[in-house]
Amino acid sequence: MFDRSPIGLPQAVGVGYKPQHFSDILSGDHPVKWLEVHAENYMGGGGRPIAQLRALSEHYDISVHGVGLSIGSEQGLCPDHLDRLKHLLDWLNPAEFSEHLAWSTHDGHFLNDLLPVPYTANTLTRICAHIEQVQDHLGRRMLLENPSSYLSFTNSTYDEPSFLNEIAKRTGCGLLLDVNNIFVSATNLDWDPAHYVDALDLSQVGEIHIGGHHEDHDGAGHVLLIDSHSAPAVEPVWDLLDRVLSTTGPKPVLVEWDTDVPEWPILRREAQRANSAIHQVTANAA
Amino acid sequence: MSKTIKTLATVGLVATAMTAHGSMAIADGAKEKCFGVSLAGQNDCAAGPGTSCAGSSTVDYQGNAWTLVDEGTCLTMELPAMDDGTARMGSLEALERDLPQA
Amino acid sequence: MQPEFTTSLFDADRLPPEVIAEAQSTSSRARFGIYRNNVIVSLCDALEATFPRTRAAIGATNFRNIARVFVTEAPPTSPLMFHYGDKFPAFLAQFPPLKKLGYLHDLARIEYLMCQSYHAAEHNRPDWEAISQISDTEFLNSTCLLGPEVFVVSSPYPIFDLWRVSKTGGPPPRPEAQSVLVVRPEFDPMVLQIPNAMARAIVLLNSGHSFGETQAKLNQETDQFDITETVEKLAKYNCFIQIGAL
Repeated sequence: MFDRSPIGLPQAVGVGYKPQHFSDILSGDHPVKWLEVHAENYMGGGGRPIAQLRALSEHYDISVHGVGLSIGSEQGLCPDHLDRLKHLLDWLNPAEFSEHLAWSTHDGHFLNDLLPVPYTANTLTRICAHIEQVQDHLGRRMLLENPSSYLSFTNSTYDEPSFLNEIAKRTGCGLLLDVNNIFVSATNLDWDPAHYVDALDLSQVGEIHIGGHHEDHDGAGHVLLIDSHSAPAVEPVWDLLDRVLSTTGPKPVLVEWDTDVPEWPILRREAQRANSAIHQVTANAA
Repeated sequence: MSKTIKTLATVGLVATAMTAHGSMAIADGAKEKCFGVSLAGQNDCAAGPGTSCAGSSTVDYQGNAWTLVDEGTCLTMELPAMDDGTARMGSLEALERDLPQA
Repeated sequence: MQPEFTTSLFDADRLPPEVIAEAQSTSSRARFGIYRNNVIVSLCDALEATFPRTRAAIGATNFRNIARVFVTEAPPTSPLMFHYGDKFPAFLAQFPPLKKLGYLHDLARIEYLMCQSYHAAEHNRPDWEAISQISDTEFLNSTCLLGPEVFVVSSPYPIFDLWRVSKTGGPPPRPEAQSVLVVRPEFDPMVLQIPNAMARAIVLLNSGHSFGETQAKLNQETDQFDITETVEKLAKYNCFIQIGAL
């Protein structure tokens, strides 16, 4: 197993780091205590991305969020990519490392999207083996994030919370709970988001994501939500965050905004709201 | 003639290199200016906010049947006629080592 | 399931895999379309981000249509999206509708290399103190190592002028073959026009020829070539990792 426990993030608000906010973040006039970066954007070896990350890590805890490992792949994990990740994490020693319950590579091609997996005994075994391989290779525990889903599989035999609970139990990995993803999937697939939250083993949650989505429709007139990270989070998603935090107590909460990235004051306002949600449960617990 | 030029060329080589080296580097005080114009990170985990049909529409590419829409700066710009002699130098000599074998 | 899923992603006429609930229904086709959209559109977006001047040169609509053909034929082989597009210049070069724009792939090549230069690792610099002690002859007998951020592109077209015009406009391109050097003295890559002979010299230096050998080879073509200018340019922009053993 892995020999190094994660340091863990502060139980406070973080934001997804965008280079255009570099100076605003370093100015320090905001509640943000930690930053998340996408691992693959910092694998070039040097230049401004690495220099900025170094400067930020002197003041903020960092969470590294991978988007290219393809943990749900039917084929093996890419050894080169595992090495690149190890190289980055050994250098940066971030507070957390997370990846997705999804696949994105096939036959040597990278498809640049988080694609869905059926929840079966077979996929469970394979995904657990991949997570153990990652944790062994990196020498640290990882967090696994619940996906946004647009469709379901006829051969799934687990519901998503049971599947995630079982992965965490078997591998010792933690969970990255994205409350917007729960809402998106629940709307698209007619689940009850509150039931999802209640069914999940929240003691395994090491980090929470909140973000906005885009509303569309499928051909049959059903609302389809798309996980675009392009807007503020909607009220029912903030309610879900409160529901999770009321059970877990304060947790690191990340505001994700990746598309149509706003000016810093707007992102800051969203971060302040998440910060209030965290403090609210701190106050209630006291 | 050619010998003379070669000899001349080598005189002051080290001195020239010494004067030139690092003259483009930034003074140490300004070193922490890793802000500046950043390229956006290319990897992220968001779904495209576009509609579901954008990815499904097809492009009919049938070789020469393809038509370009006339809107780019270069589509309207006429290049001056090239001198035949220089045109033989192709782009095959590009120095592109150290590129990852993606 | 993943082989079928992948095939259907790139072929809009195919139904989604059978294991998808109600695979034949309108709604599941639309839902599968989300993934198709994410894959195709995000890959086209990645190319737009790496090739903004190529895009400006042929127009956004043309670029998008061409990018879509390319991403379907050549999806990325690495999860590092800033590396995606290494084959795009060659694709543009052989794409029949672009035949009239013979220089376009060289413009795209420069853009791709700028992006690689931006991400390239920092490197050691030569020991200039020690170099100041050696003779010109010793220097000439030396080989050198160049940094991973340094690239050269030579084109039969006025590629530097086209590069400049594509960004800032200005006087029209001159009718001559041009070469450029991509450097990154600190964090920002730059595109510099260099004489074609200097471009050839840098390629020779990079392939292990000494400064003297490079000078001699270039002098076979022209007496005018002086390696000193090449050394000066490379030194000025911090391109050297090492000179000789120093």
